Amino acid sequence: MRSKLNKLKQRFQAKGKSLLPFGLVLLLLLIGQFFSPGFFSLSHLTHILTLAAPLGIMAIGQTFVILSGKEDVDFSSGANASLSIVLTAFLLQRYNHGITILIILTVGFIFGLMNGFSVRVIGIPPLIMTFCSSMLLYGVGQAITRGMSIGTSTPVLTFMALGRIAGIPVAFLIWMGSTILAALVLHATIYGRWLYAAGSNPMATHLAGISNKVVGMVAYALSGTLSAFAGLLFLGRFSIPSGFRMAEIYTLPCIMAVILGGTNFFGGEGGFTGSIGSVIALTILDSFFTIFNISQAWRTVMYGLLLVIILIFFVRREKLRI
Amino acid sequence: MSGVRKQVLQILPGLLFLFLISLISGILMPRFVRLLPSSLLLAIPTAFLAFAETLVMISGEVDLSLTGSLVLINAVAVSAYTDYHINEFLFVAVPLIVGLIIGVIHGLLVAFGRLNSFLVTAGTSFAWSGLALVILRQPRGNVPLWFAEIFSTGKILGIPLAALFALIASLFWLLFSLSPLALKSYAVGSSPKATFSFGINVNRVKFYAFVLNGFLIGMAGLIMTGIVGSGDPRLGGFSTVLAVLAALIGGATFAGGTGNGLGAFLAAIGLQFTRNLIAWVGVAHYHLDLFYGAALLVLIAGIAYLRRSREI
Amino acid sequence: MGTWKIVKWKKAFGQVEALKELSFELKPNRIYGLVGPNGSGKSTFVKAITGLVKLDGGKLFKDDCEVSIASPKHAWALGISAAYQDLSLVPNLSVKENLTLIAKNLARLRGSNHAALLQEFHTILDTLNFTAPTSSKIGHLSRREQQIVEIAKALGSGPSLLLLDEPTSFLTERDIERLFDLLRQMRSNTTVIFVSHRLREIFLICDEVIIIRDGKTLATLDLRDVSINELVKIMSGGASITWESVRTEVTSSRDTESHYFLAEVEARRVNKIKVMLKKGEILGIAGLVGHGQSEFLKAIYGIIPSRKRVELDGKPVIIDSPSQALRYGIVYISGTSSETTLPHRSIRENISLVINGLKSGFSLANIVSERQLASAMVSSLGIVCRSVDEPLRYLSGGNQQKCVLARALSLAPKILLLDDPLKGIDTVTKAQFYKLIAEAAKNAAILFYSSDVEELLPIVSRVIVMYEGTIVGEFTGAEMTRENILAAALRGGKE
Repeated sequence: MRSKLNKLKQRFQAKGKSLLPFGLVLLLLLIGQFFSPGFFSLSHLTHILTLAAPLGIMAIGQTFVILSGKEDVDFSSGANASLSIVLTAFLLQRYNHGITILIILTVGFIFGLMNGFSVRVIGIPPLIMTFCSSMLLYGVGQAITRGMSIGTSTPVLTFMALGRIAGIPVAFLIWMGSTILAALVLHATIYGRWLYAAGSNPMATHLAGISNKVVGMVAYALSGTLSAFAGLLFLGRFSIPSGFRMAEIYTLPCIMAVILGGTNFFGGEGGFTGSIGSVIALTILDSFFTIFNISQAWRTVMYGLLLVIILIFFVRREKLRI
Repeated sequence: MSGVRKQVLQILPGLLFLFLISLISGILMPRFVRLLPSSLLLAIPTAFLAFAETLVMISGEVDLSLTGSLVLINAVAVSAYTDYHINEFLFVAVPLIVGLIIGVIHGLLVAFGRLNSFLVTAGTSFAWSGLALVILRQPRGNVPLWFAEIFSTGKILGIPLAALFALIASLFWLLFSLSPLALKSYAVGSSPKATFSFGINVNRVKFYAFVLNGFLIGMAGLIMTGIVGSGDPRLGGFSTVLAVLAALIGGATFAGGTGNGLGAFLAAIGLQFTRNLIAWVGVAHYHLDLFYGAALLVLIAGIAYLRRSREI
Repeated sequence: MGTWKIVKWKKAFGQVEALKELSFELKPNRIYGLVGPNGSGKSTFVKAITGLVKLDGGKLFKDDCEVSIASPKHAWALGISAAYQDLSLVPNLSVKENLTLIAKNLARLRGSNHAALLQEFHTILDTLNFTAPTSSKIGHLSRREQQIVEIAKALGSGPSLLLLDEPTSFLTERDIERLFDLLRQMRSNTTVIFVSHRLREIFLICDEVIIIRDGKTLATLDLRDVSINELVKIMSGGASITWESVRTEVTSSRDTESHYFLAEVEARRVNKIKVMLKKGEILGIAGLVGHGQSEFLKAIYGIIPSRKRVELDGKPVIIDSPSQALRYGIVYISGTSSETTLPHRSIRENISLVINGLKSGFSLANIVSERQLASAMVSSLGIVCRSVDEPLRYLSGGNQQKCVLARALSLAPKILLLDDPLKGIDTVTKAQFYKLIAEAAKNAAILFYSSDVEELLPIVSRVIVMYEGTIVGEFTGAEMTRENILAAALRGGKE
């Protein structure tokens, strides 16, 4: 009898993990409505979805990386997006949208691949490597902003970031489209199978003839590309790049969203659905900060605390005494 | 005594690195020797951070909150003096106390809470730097006059500060290595399960590692505050990465179970000198971080490549 | 004084019930043997009584007082110490440092001087003829030397209850003699539990034997009242009959062509070994654990670096990595589940892993064919599960291992490299495995290494015995007996 109950509990926990964020969203909306009437309205909700989109796209890339292995995480997402912001503004002065976007995505891809190569082939721990590459990315961004004139966003980008089609935010559509594509890669391709296997048990994956190195490199490359893509939306939203670290504050929430969304930090388990909810939840939380006029300083404190709380519930070392 | 020989072998990489960089700097930079006392002093805070990081890494964890902790300590100390007019002599104790508190908090979360150390300390880094900003709001404040003077002259009772601090660090490392905690820490970092089976309280050992780490961060904060002479919530920069890299050069690994605090201390000074070298080479100041970051990356890659396990 | 009572101990790891209702009594000053088939719960018991594993239920009484063991520290304080099967030492630290840690901790618990304790450890090391310097790191010692340190750790503490879990696998005959002498001397102060597969040793040193199976006590017998054969019968409970029939099947289906598979390997711990197999042949690899058997198989499969020559069906093949080996139809499985299972992934994914590994990363996954494959395997291998989409960790250990086997069979392999695949599997599942392996052998050649000679005999047609990386014996037909194999395995010992 007890074992049956345990089994039931396990199944519920598995499903529950990806539903939790949506419950959180509901809770936050209700709280918001209480303090600020109009919060739980359709117009505000659509606004939130617009704001959440870039972070959501970054989270997709982060999910690939976190799924791929035990310690894998991408701390360079924000830096990648930041570089993308200034680089796009810079390039748009000279080239058309098509070429600019192509270049941006390629740059993101290359930096991501560099991360993946360093982590999987050279053997640098992911934390250190992505941290360092974020320094490099900021360095490049810094070099661009100091030396040269930067442009601004264009109507096309602004439309992508803030516009609506039939009342639905374009950014949200782009986010959902990316999610669907990513989900297809994860669940319908052989690479997806490899990714889950590599994250679950690298040794077994290696024994089965699958290259953990390739799996990892592709994951990091995807993350770099998606973060760069998110930068486009950021530029569309902010219009004028103010410095080379604009998206820095999104790195940690990106990681938190993935963990909160039910993906196992140690890899091998998880997906994109939960992240959708957690990204929205974090965005709502951020708008709380604006409503309650919380200073940037306090926000940083709260994000730090939030991470600790998330960890308490989601990422704990196993006990020594089983 | 083989223990001494082992220590010397462990300190060697850091020492050699420092020596090499000093040699190159001495050759290339004409004023290197004359500026040595002050550049040494400037490097000491990071050196203490590296020492602190090593202690944590020996026991198998990692502390990424160094930058944030440093900034918070600075903020609290300066604010305590400037805003609350704390007793001048008590002022010296403040950074150490705050450091200890931070260490205790991290220790509780990681050791007893079983939270993942690098994520937790990454998170608290944000929390601490945010708190620092809340306390200071902007660069301001001052420190006791006699305190600032000691650091501007670089000497106390005639002894060069840098030398004094290096001595303190060496003493600290000596005391640690001879204590029972040291062997336990190395054991816990290497094989927590086996150490647990010996009847040793693994969590407690990790906790102590974080507490000591906090104390040393406090030292770094104390010295940094003296050097800067005021409060600045934007301090820190690369501190965390530098400290980790220095710890790696000192023999630590992310797997745990190895490392030498003195070696890391020396390596950190070497890394700071490296930055001075790059700055002197004449890159435009906004390229400095880029080159320095790249240089650090190359170093890390080298270390990682040399140590890579022949596995999957 | 010195009595212990284990009452109804229960422990489950997820779905697997390691201890069901284990109960027995220990009288003072006796040496007990603890025997039982693989997976019966012996190691779990040892870990539970030393505080490494937390029981789900049950009580422990020392001298009729109830005690609870909440951590290893409690166990040490109660006078319980153990030499574990997988060793519990810190590899990065030296022998002296390891022992110092224990000595200091124990001394603090007892309020005594640690130097005396440390001296006791060294005395035991000497008695057991440990010659390496105590400043050597544990990780640099040979398996035998490591085992001696592990034993010294347990004995030297002067325990009131001593547990030895398979302590003799890596020791020479002389080492074992010395150990037994020590145990006899200790008998007046210590109760000893000697866990082992080696029944002859049990009969040599133990007074009584406790037989457990499936996590329950089957019987406690005085060794004067029972013979080895009777003991074996009680332990295996009649499964031996099935094994006989499996063997005859295999021998009768052997081909008489020239060799189908050839491997000549030189690698770490492997000193130029050459084997040749015919199609349909199952070659057993025996010998003391850690003498290169596993490395030999791994080298063929391309997981560890080696110099080798491999020929399949007359043609030479180059294998530098598992993916190349798989393309030739050479598959490797091990019994270490941490190396082979994806616990959180579905059964379907686990079984399809190798097939998916051979496809291109860009191609689409076919969940329908995955399900079909998995269902086919589940029915033909008798895997007990609710649906193939369940996570693998819901299954019992034996069933999980069946999935690993299914994964290997999904390729219709030409060569099967089995690296101790039946470790920790219960007897019933083992019998099923034999059928499956025999079936697979019809169109293939199989190299089967087992750390337990008994596992090999029912199914192999020929056995090679390895010692320190070389083949020291080869037996077939009537000569293929446990005694001959064991003798060859131990013969290499230079004492």
